[in-house]
Amino acid sequence: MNSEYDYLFKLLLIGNSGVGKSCLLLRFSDDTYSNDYISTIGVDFKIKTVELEGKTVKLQIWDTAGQERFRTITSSYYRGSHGIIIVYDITDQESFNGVKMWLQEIDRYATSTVLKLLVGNKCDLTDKRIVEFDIAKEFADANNMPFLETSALDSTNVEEAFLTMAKQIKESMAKQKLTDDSNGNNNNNSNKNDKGNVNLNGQSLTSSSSGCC
Amino acid sequence: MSQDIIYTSTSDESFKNRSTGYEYTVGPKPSLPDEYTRSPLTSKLYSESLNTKRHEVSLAAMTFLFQEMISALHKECKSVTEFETKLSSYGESIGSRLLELLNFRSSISPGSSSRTSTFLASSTSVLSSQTSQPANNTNNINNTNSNNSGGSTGNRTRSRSNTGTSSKDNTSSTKTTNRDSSDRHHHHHQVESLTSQISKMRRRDLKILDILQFIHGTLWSYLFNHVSDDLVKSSERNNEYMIIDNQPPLTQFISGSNNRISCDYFICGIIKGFLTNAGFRCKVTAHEMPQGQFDSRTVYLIQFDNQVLEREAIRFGQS
Amino acid sequence: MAIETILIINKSGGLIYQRNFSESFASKLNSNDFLIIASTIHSVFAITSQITPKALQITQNNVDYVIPYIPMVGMESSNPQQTRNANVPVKLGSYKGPDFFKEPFISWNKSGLRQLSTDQFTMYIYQTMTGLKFVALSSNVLSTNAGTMNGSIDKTKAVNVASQVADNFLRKIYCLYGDYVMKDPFYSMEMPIKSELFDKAVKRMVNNLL
Repeated sequence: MNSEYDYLFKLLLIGNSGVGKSCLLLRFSDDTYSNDYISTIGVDFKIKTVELEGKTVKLQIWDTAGQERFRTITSSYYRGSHGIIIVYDITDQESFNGVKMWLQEIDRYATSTVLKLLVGNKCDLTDKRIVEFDIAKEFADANNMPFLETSALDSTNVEEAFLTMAKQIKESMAKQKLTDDSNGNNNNNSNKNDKGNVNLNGQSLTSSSSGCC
Repeated sequence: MSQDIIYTSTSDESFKNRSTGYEYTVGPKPSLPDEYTRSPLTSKLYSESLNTKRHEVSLAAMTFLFQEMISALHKECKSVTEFETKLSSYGESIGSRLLELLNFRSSISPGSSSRTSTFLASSTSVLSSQTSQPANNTNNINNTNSNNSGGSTGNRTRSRSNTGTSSKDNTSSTKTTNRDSSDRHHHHHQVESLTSQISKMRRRDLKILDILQFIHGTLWSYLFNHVSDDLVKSSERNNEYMIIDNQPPLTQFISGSNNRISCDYFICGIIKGFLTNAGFRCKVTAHEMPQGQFDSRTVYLIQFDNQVLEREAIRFGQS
Repeated sequence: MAIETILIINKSGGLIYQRNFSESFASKLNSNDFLIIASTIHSVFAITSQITPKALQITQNNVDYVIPYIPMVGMESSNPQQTRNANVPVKLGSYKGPDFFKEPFISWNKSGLRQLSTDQFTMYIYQTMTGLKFVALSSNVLSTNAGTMNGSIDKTKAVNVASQVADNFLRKIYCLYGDYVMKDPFYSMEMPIKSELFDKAVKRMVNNLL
């Protein structure tokens, strides 16, 4: 059961209440959409298995509750996460203003090397747009993180949002283990050679001449 | 408070009062003993005799170090062959040193510590007879040795005439302390005993079998505290011998037999360094050969150069 | 105490090791289910550590967190059926002696969930100082009948003993983790454990506990 996957990445979804974190996740993991709004209680998990460079990677996405009253609990979920996706609603200026606060939370609780991604959700609602793309892009650049606009409804960019993150994490892991792949291949070869050339038959010398030592 | 009295033997004693466990948003609470408040341990390593009794090293500490070495190497190497060659070269430098050390120890140690000390003491008295103060000087040695702090200066003055022996003098310093009376007794024999001691000293192994037995016995006992589990001559090829370890201790925690075998090249390197420096050019490789309950049974295959076999045939004839 | 499942959860709530040891409800779950269970345990653990009553937190110094040492839990000799191997001394990796440790120890799990009992199973959690959690699911239901027969005091005693055995046992799994996971140069930190040596050692220990 354990050998099913090689890596387990922890991704965290944060953002104000009602920006569509759970919908985004539902689109990514199950490729469905639901119009019903159910507030997440505490935390919810979704798991998606992806193949990256021949390795099976499980992305475990922690969908946190956006509501203020769960804040004390959610802070304990930042620890050890590999990537954090901050979501806001492009039709809601308040949720975009909240991004700054979420960044502070990240600084406080997560490791400094954690990968961040800013996502503007609900980009299908073009007529209700309040937060302009350029403004958000500028903000993301200033804070040194990539930016995407997505729509959980018509599944624009959803897959990309998660997969770019997964790839980035994998790359940062791969830097630590450069020879992982070549190791496996070469090992198999050398093992074959071993079996071909080496003959390990022989007779023991220790029983007959053990008196020497 | 009463807890402290009852559980003094607990290894977690230092954590008892300081630690409040793991805090979710903070991580582990600081509870480790403060390193800086402790005075550094004074090491006897530098002043100790080469012929000292064995020291045990913590296996856990050793394997952690080994693991770091492996992962550092693993990062910089592109292929398994490169990895194994480099790891082997690390071992070689150890093997070449062990050749000297173990030959020295086995020529003076087993059950003959008195012989050891007389040999080293006599070497100083040869010097002292040249400076024509024999009796005074032996006393001097014993005096300086009995108060350790002055030992080094005493040694230096004595070995003025021959700087090459100064290291030997140092090694003798701890040994001679308890034997002043016996040394003085045998003083007049010492010049003769020096030659006899040298002739009694262990000679360099010249035959393949002898040096392999030395590896199988002495080297393995030094490294792993037991003789190797078998020493085998190949039934197929003349120049191949195998040393077998049922449970290699250093690599016992490494998962995946391919990975583990690659790491065993460290031991291969030690064997290779030992043999090549003794004049036996060879190639050493590690192979896995599980047998019975020993899943990680490892064979170190030693392939000697043909010139080694030819030399042996010329020197000792075919026997 | 029959162990159904062992889980190891890293400090960020990710499942890094999971094994079933018997055909039971647990074996019907897939790996994603276990990932969710593990992270849920992690969250519940975090929540429970925050709802420890203030009165208890203030007087925490008086709470006895010392877990007594119970000899040879999960070791070869604790199982009479396997005494045939008694003449072959079992080497415990980098640990000396016949057992991994032989003193009582302090529990680092001072405010979180330690034990969860249901009609179906009992769950024990051992937390290390670094926030790693070892979880054992045991099929043994603490029999309420025995409790009512002998009075309620005995029942709590039985609960305590079971949890102490579990703590001793899981601490030994932690010792194995220290050897076969942390000393493996090819293990990447916080990632799933794939060492077959560790697997084998854990399996042996669980079987000894039967």
